[in-house]
Amino acid sequence: MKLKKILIPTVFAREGMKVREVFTICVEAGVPALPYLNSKGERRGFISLSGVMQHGCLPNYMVELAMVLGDQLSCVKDAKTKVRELMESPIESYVDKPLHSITSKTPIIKAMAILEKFHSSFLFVFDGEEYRGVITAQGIAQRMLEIDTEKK
Amino acid sequence: MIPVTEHTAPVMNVIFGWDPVWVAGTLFVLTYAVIMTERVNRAIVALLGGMLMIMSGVLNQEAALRGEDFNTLGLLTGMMVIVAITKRSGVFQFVAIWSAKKVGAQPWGILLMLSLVTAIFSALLDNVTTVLLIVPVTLLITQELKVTPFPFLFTEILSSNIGGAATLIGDPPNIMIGSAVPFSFNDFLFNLAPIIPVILLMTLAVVWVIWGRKMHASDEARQNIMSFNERNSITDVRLLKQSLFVLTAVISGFIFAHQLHLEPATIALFGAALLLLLTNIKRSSESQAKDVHASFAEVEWITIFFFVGLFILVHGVEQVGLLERLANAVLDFTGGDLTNTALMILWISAIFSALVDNIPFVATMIPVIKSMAPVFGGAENLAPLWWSLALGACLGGNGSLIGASANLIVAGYAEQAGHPIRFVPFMLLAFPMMLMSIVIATIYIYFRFLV
Repeated sequence: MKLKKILIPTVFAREGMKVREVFTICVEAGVPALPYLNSKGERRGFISLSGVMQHGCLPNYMVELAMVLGDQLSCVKDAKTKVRELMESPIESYVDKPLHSITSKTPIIKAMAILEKFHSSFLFVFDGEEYRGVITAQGIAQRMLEIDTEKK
Repeated sequence: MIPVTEHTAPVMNVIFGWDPVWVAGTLFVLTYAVIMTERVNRAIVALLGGMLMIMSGVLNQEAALRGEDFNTLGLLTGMMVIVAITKRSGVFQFVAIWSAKKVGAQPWGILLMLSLVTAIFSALLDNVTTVLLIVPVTLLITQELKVTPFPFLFTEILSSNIGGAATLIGDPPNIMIGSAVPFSFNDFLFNLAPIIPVILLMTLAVVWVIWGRKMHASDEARQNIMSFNERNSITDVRLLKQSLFVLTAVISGFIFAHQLHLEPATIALFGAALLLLLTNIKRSSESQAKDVHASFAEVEWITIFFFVGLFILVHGVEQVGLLERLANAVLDFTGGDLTNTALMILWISAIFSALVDNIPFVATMIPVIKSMAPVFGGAENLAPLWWSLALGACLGGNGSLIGASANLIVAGYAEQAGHPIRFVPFMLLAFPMMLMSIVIATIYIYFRFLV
């Protein structure tokens, strides 16, 4: 299996962008995260959809007590306003630490091992400083299905 | 000067032939000073200090081991393992939410109930675990009620330190005192617990005057709380039954420890081992290893290793006779009067514990008080001093945000949730309330033990 076949090329998330822009890019490209560059063009981490949702919408105590929450919650009422506020907010406060990256020559089995190791569903692919794109668990699954079809 | 005992220092091979008193004293003071700065983790500092006490020749390894208090270390570790497993069942969150619903989700009622639950849990579990379980529930409830969480969190901090003072296992100072004297679980219950409800009630009365009478929530907000399903917090009924069985057995073991001729550490470690056995008995060896590893990983090793280092340090200064000198100085100041000495210990330990970690203070005071026995006619007459130390050290933790680990944990969690608790505003309210609790403790100690 070649890693290039499952690579999804994307742009970077850059300092000054809003959450809306990152969400738009991710949803259109079908990726869960983008690598982040600061104003000097240095790689400083990544922005993930789940990270933004977790830090922007969900306090820790709600996650801890998820099982006991009722169907009536005060925050549901002004949810649309909060979503708009979140979309308008700058991405800087949602940057996560740099994630382990792989190269385009990395065997997929190694990529899968790294995904498992870091409990992640995606990995960024860099050849030196050049960004190639994202690979995802869904992409690997899709490639597996393609191989299965080819055999038949 | 009132001589405590005649000290005969053991022969020591101190490095470069230096004076053991100076070496031990300097190491002790330096270590405590670095611990107080909180710039390096306290476990690292205490361990380094303890090891230097051995490497400098003040103690050899054998003597250092004699300084270790297995009862304190075993009791702490055993209870930490039991609580780590029990909390996975969700029983503590169940009780917290159930109690909030029992008062119809009225804000003042919830504050009262959560404070009460915090105090009771703190008497039976360690304070840090208690607040870690109660604070998320509090933040969720106050969010739904649309009320500020500060009064709730503030009262829970105070309740955890007050409740912790009630029992042998409630707070590390009590564990250390109970192990050193030795007092039983029942001794703590009979001698300390009676005053705890009074202190808690007075504290809650002040909280009511400041915040409680103005608390209000809409019917709709209260309805949101009433829709919480506390039963869903119980994730594993089998684990719940096993945990409650072991927890009940362990507490019964503490109560009947004297008749059983068992030390608290043995009971707690046996309970931990039994609960590990019950929860692992039908699993594969790989799954057992994972579960046991996860349970042991939840032990607060920082606290355990802090104690390990501290016991060596204190044993070092004790061996060179420094603590006897300190005891003499205290007795000089109080004129060798039991009442003066008890009340001095109560107040000094309260003020000290409000500003710095109470564990090193108590570790130092234990041998100091022990060495006062000849002056007061024997160890059996020292009880008022021990109860003064326990109440002062535990209640003193309420004096400031840095007075106890639980206070810092609450502040950290609240800050993460966007409700920071600031040092000065907290202290302006908490310090006078801590002084009020010490005044009550003074009256109690005086009339119960000294008249």
